[in-house]
Amino acid sequence: MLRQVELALGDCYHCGLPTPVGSQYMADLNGESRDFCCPACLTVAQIIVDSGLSSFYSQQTPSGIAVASSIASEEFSLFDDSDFQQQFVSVLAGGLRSCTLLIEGMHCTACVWLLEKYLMALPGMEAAHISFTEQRAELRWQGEQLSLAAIAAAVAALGYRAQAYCMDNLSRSRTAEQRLAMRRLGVAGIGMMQVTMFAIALYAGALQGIAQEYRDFMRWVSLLVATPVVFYSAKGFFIGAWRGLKVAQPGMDLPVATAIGLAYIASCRATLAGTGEVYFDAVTMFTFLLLGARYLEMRARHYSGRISSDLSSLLPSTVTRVLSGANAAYQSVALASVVVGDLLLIKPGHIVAADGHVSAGSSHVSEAALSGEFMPLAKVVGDTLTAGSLNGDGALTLRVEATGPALKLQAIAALLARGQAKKPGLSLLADRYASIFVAGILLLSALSYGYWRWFATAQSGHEAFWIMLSVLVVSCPCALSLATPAALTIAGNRLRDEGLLVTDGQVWEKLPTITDVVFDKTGTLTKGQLSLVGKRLLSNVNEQRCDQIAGALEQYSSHPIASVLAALAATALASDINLQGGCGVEGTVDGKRYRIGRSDYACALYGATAEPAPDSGQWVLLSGDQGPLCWYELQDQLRDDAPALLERLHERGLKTHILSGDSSAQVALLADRLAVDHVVAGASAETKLDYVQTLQNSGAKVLMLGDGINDIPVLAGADISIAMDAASNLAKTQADCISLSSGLLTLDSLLDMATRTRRIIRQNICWAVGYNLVAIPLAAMALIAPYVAALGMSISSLVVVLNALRLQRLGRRWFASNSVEHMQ
Amino acid sequence: MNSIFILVPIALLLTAVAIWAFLWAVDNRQYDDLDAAAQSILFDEDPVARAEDKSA
Repeated sequence: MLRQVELALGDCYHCGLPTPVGSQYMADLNGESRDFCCPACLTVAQIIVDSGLSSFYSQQTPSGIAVASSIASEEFSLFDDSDFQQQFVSVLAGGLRSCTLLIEGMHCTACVWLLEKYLMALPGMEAAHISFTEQRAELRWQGEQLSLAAIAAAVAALGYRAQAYCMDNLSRSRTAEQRLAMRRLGVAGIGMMQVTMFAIALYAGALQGIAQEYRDFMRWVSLLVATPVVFYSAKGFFIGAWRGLKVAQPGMDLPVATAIGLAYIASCRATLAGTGEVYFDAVTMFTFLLLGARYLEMRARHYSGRISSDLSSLLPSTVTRVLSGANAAYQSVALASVVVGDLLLIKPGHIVAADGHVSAGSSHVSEAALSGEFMPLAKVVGDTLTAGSLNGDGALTLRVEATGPALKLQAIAALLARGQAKKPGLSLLADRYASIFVAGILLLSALSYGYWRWFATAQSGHEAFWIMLSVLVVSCPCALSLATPAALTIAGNRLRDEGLLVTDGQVWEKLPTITDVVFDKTGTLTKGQLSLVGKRLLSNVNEQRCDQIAGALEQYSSHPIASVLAALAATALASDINLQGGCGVEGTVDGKRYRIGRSDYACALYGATAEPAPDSGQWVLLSGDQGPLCWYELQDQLRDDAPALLERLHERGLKTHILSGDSSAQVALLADRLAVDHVVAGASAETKLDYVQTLQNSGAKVLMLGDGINDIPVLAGADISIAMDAASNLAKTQADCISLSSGLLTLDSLLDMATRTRRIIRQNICWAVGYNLVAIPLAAMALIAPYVAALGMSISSLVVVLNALRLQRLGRRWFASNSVEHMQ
Repeated sequence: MNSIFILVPIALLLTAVAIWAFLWAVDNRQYDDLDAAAQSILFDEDPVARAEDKSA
């Protein structure tokens, strides 16, 4: 019995990819029927639900889980290899083993929960601790009950990928840096709370009178608590300031260190002498706020850094070697042990691990990773294969001709270096101004000390010192040095909620100057996967019947086009199938012969040469023995929000470009539809980089969006680059921003936020400068009591932070109205 | 008012304990992953285990 199948698109319940409703992969989970895009997702979902972990689906973020892939279990035998065990597994007392694995594919904290629960349920597992931030799992298990290969297989069963984790120096130093920052921040926070509490007593005392002994006691206690904050928490500022001085390039650390150092010394002096004012509260609060901003900044930086930046991480770590000899035997080996001349078996769906020629088998191979061209190419015996490309439907035997540094993939690395070298240099303008400001203040306080000491005879030397301190403290560059980071931190957090991670602070500075936006096509403006967009009937056979025939035939092919059309029919009725690689499928449905595929192939069934396609799109023809039946149009679909984004970019007066590795007419069609200003089709990684550099040489500031490995050099070379959600890890490490959701409109949010942030920063700097212009002369004229100066310093910093907080509010209102607009 | 000469040192002692506890927690990797811990509370307990608890 046949079910009518509509081409309505739902989402795969597991990975969220668009899936035809009523696809052949359905399962009843907890009493509800769910659709899946592929059998692998279905299997994973079944495992999750059967293990009682179904709340995973209610907690995971909607941006999509790594698509499950089914991997045969022999892949994991390497984990039990004795060499491997010796290197990575440590044996503990009582038969316990421990090992750290790198887990790939975790995209949200729900994944952590799922993996921990699932792994802990394995018999013999003692402890499974998974860190999302570091993307790794620390495991402890009973060696007799459980093998590492079984653990790796369990991880893979959920759709993640386990790899041996070898802690390199970079990640070790990152962990150390992160912990040190946390320790300093914590000590500063606890210290600040205590000192502020004592300060409230002191301020109240200053207003309504306090006995000398209590006041001095409070000051001594404040000194005691503030000391570790200054010497431990603020140590980084002092070291940074000293380093800057040594190379004669004082940065923002110098004013900060000067302020903290002098305010602390003055307060100590006042405490010891029992006269004057103390500023311990301002010192600790300022230290804490700055450390907090720096900590958040560091986390964003580490996020992009934690993903492997090594090109070879694109290749599988284990491969299947074909052993020479009469009986074809296979062996799982590490990629590193493969040498030129080896034969490797590349299974369907696997990544080609080395450069070479096909020595047996035939398949379709996608070189999207290298060329950006995502339509698979047919490969038969004698054709070349390039490492990094993805094998499609058939198994291939590869004769290895190059491995390691000799791979063509490494050519990308050379281009990358070129892109990075051309990257416009850091602008340290704000820091330079701050240095001048600090030098000016130091000079001014020295002058006022000199004046009051030697010219104003009414004052003694002791009072002149306090006036000098008032000048220093009241002018504290805190507000000035907090003005920018406070705004940047808040804007960055706001955008992270929105699905865009800014990993380089320069983005904010450069965004308002952008003149050109360059897009990659596949995977950036489009979704990067084919779907059925149109049909054209050519005979009196009705549409439903055509769909049934097409679906029935395509069941037997695993070409990407076939998988789209196969979803048209729920049951297979065809028999006597003949697959013609690169052409199409022929088969018998209800006693009649039909063909589906390329026009010339399909027409040959009824004796014609070829039927012209309706237009320049990508069409597949279904024909019977009497004549053609129906055209099907397939297209890589545009992301839903692409037209809206392009419209807004044009409204902003930005020029738009498409640089696509795709050389088909599709590129021009798409550019036409989106009214993009300039289009380059068939561009290689090198052409792309050249194009962007030519733009830059003519004075343009370029924002680049891309995702593929062929986009990496150009991402590195552009003024600002954004890597899409699905981008390769390497592309992400080269980008200044990473899109965490699949929406394109976040780019518009980013541009908007950048304008707002710049406005807030200007306001903050105006306030800080204006405050200093008023307060410094007053202090130099000895009109400001030191405790008022300390209060002024705290309040000016608070004003700056509160003003920056408005970014959060403004952002929210803007996003709310924006999303409503978008929905309409 | 003389009580502050006792109370404040006690507060300082507690502060020292708080700092020690914090540093201990950092060294014991409690702060290494701030993302997962923040959301773990939102997850229900394993429903299978809960059902077994009830029947037991």
